[in-house]
Amino acid sequence: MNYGAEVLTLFHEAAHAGQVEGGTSGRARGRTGGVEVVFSAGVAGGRIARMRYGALGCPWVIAACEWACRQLEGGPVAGLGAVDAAAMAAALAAPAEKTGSLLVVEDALAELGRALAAGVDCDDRKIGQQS
Amino acid sequence: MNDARPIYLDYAATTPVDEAVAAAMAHCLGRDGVYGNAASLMHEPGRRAAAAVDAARAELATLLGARPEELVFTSGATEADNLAVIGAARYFADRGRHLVTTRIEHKAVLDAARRLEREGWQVTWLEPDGEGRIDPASVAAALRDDTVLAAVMWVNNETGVVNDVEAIGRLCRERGVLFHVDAAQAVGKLAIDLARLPVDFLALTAHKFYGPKGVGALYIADRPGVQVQPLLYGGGQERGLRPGTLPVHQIVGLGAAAARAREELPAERARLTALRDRLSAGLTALDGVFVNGGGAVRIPGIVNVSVAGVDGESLFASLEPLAVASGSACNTTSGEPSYVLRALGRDDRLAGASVRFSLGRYTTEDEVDRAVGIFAGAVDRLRRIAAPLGGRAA
Repeated sequence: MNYGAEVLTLFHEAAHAGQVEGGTSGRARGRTGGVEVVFSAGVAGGRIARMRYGALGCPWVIAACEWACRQLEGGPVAGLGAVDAAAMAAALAAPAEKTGSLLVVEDALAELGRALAAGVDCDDRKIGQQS
Repeated sequence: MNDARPIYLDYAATTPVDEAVAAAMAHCLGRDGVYGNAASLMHEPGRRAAAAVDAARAELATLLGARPEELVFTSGATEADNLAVIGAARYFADRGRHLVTTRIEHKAVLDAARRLEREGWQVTWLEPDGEGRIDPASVAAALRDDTVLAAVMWVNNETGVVNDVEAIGRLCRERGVLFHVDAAQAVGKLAIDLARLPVDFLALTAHKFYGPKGVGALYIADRPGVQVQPLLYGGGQERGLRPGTLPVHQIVGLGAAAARAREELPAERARLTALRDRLSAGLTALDGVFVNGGGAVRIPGIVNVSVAGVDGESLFASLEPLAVASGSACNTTSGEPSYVLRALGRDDRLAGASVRFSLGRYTTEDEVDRAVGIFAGAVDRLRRIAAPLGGRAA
């Protein structure tokens, strides 16, 4: 598989891999179980103060998770809806056969968005404890 | 990104050409060398080419314990496998239309057998045991009165597991069934004495033992009832079984590689066994790393491991500068998990997260140790990335 420079950089750096302790999380798993992603985030004042991910998948998946965190961290919670599989595919120049994997990442982001919408006040109190 | 020189641990895929072999080949190419057509016996350049071919055939025969006239030069093991499987089946089609082979053969045999299936042949596909071995008893049980040929590889190209071809061949001979052995991974690594073994056909290729790509051979035992129908026609070379102008330089390279392999086999076998065991110990010191075929007899030089809790594609993307294989190199273009490892009972994820390390003449202890370090670092990093998923990911 030939990966672009952007994918390789994000995959090898994976600086946002990890977990926001006490944060809110959203998780998704591909139907065959080959891809699994969890995002966690802490929110302060309606903004995503900190965002991390865990992923089991190919380099495109890890790169997409890393890219999403970089796009979303520091921005408004509402921005979660703008990062979908199409945006990730465009940013990473992903081949069509990786669309299914990127949709799992999109699903995990959507789950995170729903969870944050349901419990943002609770997460606001925990921002100072994040790792 | 690491820009260090690759650590080449993919000798089972191919080997660099030995320098002496390359020099012998180069001597055949130029105007001052052995450039003649080996079929042009009416003049000196042709006779010199024919003599070079004869000498190479004799070297290869010595390595195999065969007679020179029992060898037919081909373009490689794939063609030799096809010539044996399809050629024998078609020659003896009036005797029966049943073949026996295994799920773990190289594609050169698998696809040849599938081709015959499409032509109306029945094929019994044998499964390996959990270590990747073909039980001779399973071959015996599959043989029928109308079985023409059984084909079982000597050494599996992904796991390095050695099959008991002597026992299988004996069973075939008792039943009057022809026996073909794909020996692409065995030649140059195991001592072979075809004068003693009950094998009718044996396929090999030069590039697995420091010879050139593009040349191989099929051994056809010189005994009654062992025949193949050619796949190509025209020219009459190689007793009409593989016509076409002989590539003298390639054949000379094969012969030189055979001579070199015979010289170094005992010492190299011991050295590679020690390196393999060192590598294996280093890899399995990690949790969740399993040696495929670890409980079976294997050739020195191949270690195939499956890794729990990581994605195979990400693992490979993390292993630079290691040059290693995911499953079989011949199969990597498909992107599918190894059919061999799935036949051994590995699920798709484990089969996909499998790495074949194959060591060779130029592998050093230092390279093995560095490979273990790179592998361990990659596995650890990917497991940390997956850690927030909890135990379900592993």
